[in-house]
Amino acid sequence: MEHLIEIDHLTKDYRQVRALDDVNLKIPAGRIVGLLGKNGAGKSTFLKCLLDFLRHDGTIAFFGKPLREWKHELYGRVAFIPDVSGLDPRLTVKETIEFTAGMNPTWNEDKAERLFAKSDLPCDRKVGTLSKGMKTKLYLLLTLARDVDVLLLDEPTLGLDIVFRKEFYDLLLGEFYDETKTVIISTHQVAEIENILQDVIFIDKGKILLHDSIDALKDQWKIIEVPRSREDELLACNPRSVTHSLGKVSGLVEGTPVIPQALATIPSIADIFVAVVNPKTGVSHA
Amino acid sequence: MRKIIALFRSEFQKNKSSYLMPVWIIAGMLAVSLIAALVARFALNENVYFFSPELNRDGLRIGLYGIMFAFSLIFFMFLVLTAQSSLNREKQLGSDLFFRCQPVSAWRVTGVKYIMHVYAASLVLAALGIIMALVLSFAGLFTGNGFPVGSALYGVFLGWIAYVKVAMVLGSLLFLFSAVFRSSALLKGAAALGILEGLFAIIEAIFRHRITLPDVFATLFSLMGDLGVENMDSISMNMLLGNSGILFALVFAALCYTGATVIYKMRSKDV
Repeated sequence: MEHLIEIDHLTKDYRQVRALDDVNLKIPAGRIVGLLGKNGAGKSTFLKCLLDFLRHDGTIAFFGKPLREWKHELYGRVAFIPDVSGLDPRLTVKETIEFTAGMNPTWNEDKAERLFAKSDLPCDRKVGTLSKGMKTKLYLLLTLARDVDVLLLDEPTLGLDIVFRKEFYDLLLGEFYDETKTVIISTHQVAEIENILQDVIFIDKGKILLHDSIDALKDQWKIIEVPRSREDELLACNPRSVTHSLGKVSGLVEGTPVIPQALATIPSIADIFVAVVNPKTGVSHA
Repeated sequence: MRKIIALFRSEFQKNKSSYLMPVWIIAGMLAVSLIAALVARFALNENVYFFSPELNRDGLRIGLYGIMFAFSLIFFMFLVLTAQSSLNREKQLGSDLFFRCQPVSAWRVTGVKYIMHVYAASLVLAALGIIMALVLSFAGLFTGNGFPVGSALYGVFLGWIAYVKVAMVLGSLLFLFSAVFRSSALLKGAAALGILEGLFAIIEAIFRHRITLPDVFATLFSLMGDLGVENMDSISMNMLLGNSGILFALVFAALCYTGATVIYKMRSKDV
């Protein structure tokens, strides 16, 4: 499979702090990838390095071409939506659309007209007077109308209500994604995007802890539930986290351990994330 | 070309208030002057000349140069405000990532910003000057001086040249400051020049004045050359452009633009 993004030994230091530590990744085309990590794990730094917005060590290549050879042409094929609405508050919605259309040779006028006609964005209002949800929606529609190959999203729905969040991801899937395009979504709200992801990358303290497909992860991890009287059998399987509830005890285990008459269920990505990022700290009582 | 047009248009849209505000201020001042003259003439019976007998060719040339000079002071205040934030305003507003993610070279972006922040207001000033020249030339008809629009426009052109010279030197310097400093570029830039001046004075004192280092502010002002402030009666094209100073000013402006762009590009790796 051809790799759209290849990252070798990517390291980024902020003075004394190592924000990214020898990251090596290969991301194929046509995948929706979740970049999951706690606050301060290095997600935003990683995305900014991909966009060549930060000096870094190591190499990054898009479409087989190293970043240093791309210059500004890269931004014709790769788009970015940051965590805070970064649109210019002095421009109106219409002026922002006209600017983006003028700057991008890949601007799809028909698609833009359709998208903005369906939206409730007020064209004559200054961007600075829009709500955060409206600004994010405008940013997304501008990006969708650009027809880029890669979309990088850095906590795009942070601070938005559930209606806007759902609309955002529906638009993303309906209007952007196909088998040729790649989306990398950085978030710490794992549960929210779990159902749309195909691959996940877990990052913590600048290191990549895991990079795998959702299907493989769900095959690999199981939640095993047994009565409390059989807790020892569960603990013998070396669970990554243990939860007690109403006479039962359940644990997240790697692989498929054989415990007779135990109930095995598929864990959520959030469960696996917590187990991988904070191993052995997940003992709780419900 | 499409990208350049989009850049120019958005720069205008972002800063249109700073282009138009001097016009409103000047219009307000003219309106107040006119009302004061009307009150003096008709309410107080003062001897007010609405159409001066000096609206002849020389009078219009010198008068319009003086008017343009006064207008330039107002335009210059807004030039200072806009040029000092040319390259750092988007960072302050948090929209720099949006603009950096557009497929356009940094040289084009800074080139458009440089033109729009340093020189665009001069077009508004020129338009205002042309209107004044036409109005005063028509006034010449009432004072037996004919319609000396050529002299009037020449006066406007001289005034415009003087403004552009100032903008080229001080505006370009502020443009450079806007790349170096992320906020309050005027104050920080002026402080930096002051420190440099002080440093030169200390070095001269250390060497017991056996060496002479340049006076920073005087050198800067000398780049603007003769603006005809003291010799307004004999203002001419030769006085404004007839020496090598304009070439130094052009070189200085080019250096400021290049330096600002190099710094802006370096800063793009530090967002």
